[in-house]
Amino acid sequence: MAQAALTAYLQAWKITDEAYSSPSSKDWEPAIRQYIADPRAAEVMKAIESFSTNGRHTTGSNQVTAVVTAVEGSGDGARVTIEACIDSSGKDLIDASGNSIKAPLPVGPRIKQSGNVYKYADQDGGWLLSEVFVPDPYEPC
Amino acid sequence: MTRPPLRAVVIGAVCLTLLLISGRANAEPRLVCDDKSDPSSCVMVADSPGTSEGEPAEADPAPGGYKFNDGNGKANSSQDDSASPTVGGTTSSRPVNSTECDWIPMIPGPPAADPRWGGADPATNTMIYSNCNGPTRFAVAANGAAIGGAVVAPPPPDPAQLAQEAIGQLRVPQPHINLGPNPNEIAVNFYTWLWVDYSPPITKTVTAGPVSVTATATFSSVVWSMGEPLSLDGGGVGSVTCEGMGVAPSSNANFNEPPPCGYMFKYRSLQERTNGVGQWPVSATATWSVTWAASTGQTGADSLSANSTTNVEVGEYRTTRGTGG
Repeated sequence: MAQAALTAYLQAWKITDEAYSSPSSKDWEPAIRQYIADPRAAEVMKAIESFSTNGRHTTGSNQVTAVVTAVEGSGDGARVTIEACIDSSGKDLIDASGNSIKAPLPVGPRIKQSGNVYKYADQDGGWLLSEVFVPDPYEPC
Repeated sequence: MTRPPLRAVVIGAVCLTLLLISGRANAEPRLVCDDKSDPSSCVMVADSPGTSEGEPAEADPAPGGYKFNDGNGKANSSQDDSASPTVGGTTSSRPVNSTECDWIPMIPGPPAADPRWGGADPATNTMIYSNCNGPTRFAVAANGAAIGGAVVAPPPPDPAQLAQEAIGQLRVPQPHINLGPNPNEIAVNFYTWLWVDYSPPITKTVTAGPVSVTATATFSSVVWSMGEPLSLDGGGVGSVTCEGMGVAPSSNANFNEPPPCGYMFKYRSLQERTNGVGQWPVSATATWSVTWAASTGQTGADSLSANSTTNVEVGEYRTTRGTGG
């Protein structure tokens, strides 16, 4: 169970990277919602729209190191909490003119965050990333 | 004579210096992220005093804080402490204008066993969330309940399901069987014209909430089972399938030509061939094509059928030669 949730979490990041790298290429919502549920899905869709509106896109991908820290319940509605380190050093943010505009973070490119992955019976694979928590301000890892 | 102008110059220079200092302070760059979870989506933005990418200046977040772009060109501070509904299904009585602070129905709704439901029935409730003030908060609202001045709409009905309801309400008529040219003088080796009475398209509309579905049934074809065997040795039953309803013969029809929909009996319906009935059982099964269109733009297709039967005596014409008188 924990492994399946972890896989879904990593897949969620993978599809997010793909969407941000080519935000205007297609309607990303079906692919996003294959691995991500609201409210995180709505956040990602808004970000894709913003990328697209501003003519921005990313290159590369985040390196995600994740561990399961809690499992609650079993079957539908089960929740797996994951703590992760997101390393954005391999990604860049490109504006409409092709210039790199990615801001260096005060804490460096590796930040802590956590997420909750829930079991949805009706979804392929059954696990969807629903909530992502990011410390404010960012914390290094 | 020169004092007043010199004083004015000095005061002006001091004011200009203060303005420049103030301007530099307000132009301190800040981090703006399209997706706060993805640090590679962040850019440094230096706002001009009084403006922020076309918007009024906002208070800067603490060092290291981020701004979350809500996708509508507005950057909402993660540390903005305005408009905070309370947790647990109740809401602030204060209107909430920020998109980020809206309570939004979750898509899809979590499974019934999800602890965030708190035991509420997902069939009659909607789970909503708000990203206001950092951590996402969840609440459960009864379908149709007012949340922060807005009404939580129940989950939109499934157009395909509504379509099935509409199709279920379509009542296609039984086909009224006609054989000709004379139904009382059907004979082997002559074309029997087959048709059913005209039936116009039928429409039904079902509406649920914001979704309506209109299903339309249109007559398509008839399968005629003519009752007689394919051969006297055994199996099968003579049949013909006709597109449309068939046509009644006109007064000047050529009965030697195949009709638009017709059949040529091979065997008389003798009593020994029909278990003593003396008639062939003829049935017509009409197929109706059903199309449906939803107000959401979704469309689909289905079919309906209806059946009628009758018995037909099939004889033969014999040529007789008169002997005069």
